[in-house]
Amino acid sequence: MVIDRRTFITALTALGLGGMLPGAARGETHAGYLSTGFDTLAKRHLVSRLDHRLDIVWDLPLPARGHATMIRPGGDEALVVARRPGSYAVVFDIADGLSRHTLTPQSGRHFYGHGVYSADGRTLWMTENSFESGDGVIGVYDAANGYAPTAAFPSGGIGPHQLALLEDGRTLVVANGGIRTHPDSGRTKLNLETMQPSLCYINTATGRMFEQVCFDDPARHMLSIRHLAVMADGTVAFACQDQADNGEQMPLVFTHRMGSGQPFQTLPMPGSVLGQMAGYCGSVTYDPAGAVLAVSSPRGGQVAFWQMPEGRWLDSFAIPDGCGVAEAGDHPGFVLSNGEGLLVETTQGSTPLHQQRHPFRKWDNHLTAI
Amino acid sequence: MSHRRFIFALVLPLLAGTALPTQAAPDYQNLRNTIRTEHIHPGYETLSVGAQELEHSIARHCRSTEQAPDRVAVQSAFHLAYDAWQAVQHIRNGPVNVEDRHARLQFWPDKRGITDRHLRQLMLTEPNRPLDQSISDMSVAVQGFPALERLLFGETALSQHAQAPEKINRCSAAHAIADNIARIARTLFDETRNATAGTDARTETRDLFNDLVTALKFVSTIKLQDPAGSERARPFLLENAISQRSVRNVEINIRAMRALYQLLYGNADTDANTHTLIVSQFDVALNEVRALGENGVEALGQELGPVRFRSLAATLESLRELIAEDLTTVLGLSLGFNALDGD
Repeated sequence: MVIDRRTFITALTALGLGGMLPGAARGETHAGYLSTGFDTLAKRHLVSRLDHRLDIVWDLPLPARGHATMIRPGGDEALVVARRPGSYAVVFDIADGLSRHTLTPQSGRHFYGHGVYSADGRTLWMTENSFESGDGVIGVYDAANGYAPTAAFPSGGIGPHQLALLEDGRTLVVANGGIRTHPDSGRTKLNLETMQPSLCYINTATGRMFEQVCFDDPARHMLSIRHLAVMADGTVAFACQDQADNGEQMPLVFTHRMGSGQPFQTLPMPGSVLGQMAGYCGSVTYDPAGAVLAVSSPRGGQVAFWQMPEGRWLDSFAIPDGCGVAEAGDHPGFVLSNGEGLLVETTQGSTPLHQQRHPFRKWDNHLTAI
Repeated sequence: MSHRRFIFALVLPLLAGTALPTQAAPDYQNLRNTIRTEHIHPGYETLSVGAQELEHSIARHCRSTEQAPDRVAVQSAFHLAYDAWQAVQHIRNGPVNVEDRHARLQFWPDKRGITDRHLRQLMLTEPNRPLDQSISDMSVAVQGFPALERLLFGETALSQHAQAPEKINRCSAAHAIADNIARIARTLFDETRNATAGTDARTETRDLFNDLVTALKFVSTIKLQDPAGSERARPFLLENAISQRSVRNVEINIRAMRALYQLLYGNADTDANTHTLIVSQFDVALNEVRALGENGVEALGQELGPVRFRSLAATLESLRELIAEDLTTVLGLSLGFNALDGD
């Protein structure tokens, strides 16, 4: 049987309970948020736009589980990247949720979950895995020219995941998780014994690496660096997932500055909260003022907050299976999402300001403020 | 929501989510095979037989030479087939998750009135090929039980003559839909015949666990809370108000969910107190639903109707929390979406 797009959207909308047809955007006072997610009734992976009240504006069905979204500066479109190892990325219209292009990786490569646009929105850099060699790659795409692939350069390590652009607009910072996978074995980790995670700073003009930083303590070589965020002063905060299943409690959240000559600085946190985090962090985000850093841990059901730049511990907020964290649009603070369909607006660790639950939704890893 | 209630709402699932498995993992293969042979396959078999009967019944009705034969026989055939559907409605993984089969059998909830709109369009359009052949390519909203319900229980008689301005006679429309339902049901039956084939047993067990928890939420929220409303009853949100069987559906759902829970729990002997509590809560829910009768519009129209709907919804919601916690331990499986992702 053939299901045309109209029938498909109709079915999806009715089952999505609260979703609206594309084009029916509402609540325009603040642009809202984008999140990947899963509709538990229709059994479909989606990317959704939420308005400032955290209601769903539209859903765009995805071919497979999505991971992160990123807004193209100066444009009216955004990108959603498949969960690693990914075979698609979809460019879509933020206003109506209709897809514009589908990107597929170059032969022999997979998308690895994240991408970042240049400040002028003309270039897109994506983390990718060249699966035969196992090398991490940064794929370069000309967003201004139909997203044509234009170049690729090494990510400086194995298993690159999230990347960000420093304030200078020329330097990429890449979290190389250190874990190798191959399509023959899906998401199986092939090199845990020898993994060497790193943070790499790369000149976008030349594709050359300025600096590669690893943990100076060899006992930390199994802390896979996955997610990061950059502050206006160039401080990079990053969070790890501990692959050593030995019961030993490792710090998980660190900061670093390019060219500082300093090793990674551990951000302090209470042992009880670190213990709850179960060696596993999800998203890393600063609030718009850059004064507060938030790091989620879905396994711990916690989002942790620090005062920046001094790195002082503030508090944590309990949200089971919580992973998505975005800066709140119209006040200081954050919006958090979880795998049970909950969205919560909060300032650091205190009382929730507003919440919305979508009962048949699982919000996936990352939430992005538009 | 008050601060305290909010914390409570957050903490309960947290406990459920972090409960560590305290016993050896069950034999997933065995568990999966049992559920397929004792729950899923017989469920689809009953649906398939019922749907075929329904199709025959409509054909008989439409062959009848009487001017306007009454519709009692087709309506009761509808009820039997639909009872069978309600008993498997909670299964949302497996073959029913292919080609939109779940939505094609029952496109609901339908707050925007899409079924009525698309059915009206269908009836007003001259078909360019026989409906029996084209229905499965049309809008999902006209392919299943809700559209058929409107034809069998609506005011217009089920006859072989199109009534202007309609271009299609209601007999052919009803027969085409019933035939489509029967074909989908037959496919579901055929595709679940082999108990050992398919996805890996652990994943399938987790999917079933997920389906059970989702179904409890679905019944409590969509079938009960929404129609009960917070200030004023909203009977137009009831499932199958036209055939007057909204509450009958809920009773069948509760029985089916209890059966699936028992199979998933299996012979586990951990956490016997929670298990006993869950079984007794199912009894409470069944007593509550029986007290409401079968017809939701009638039940909701009574003075205490909305309160009783909300009370039953709360019973199912507490069952959902208990079961999520209990089965996480018993099955050694977690439902954490992000916690399990590994990214």
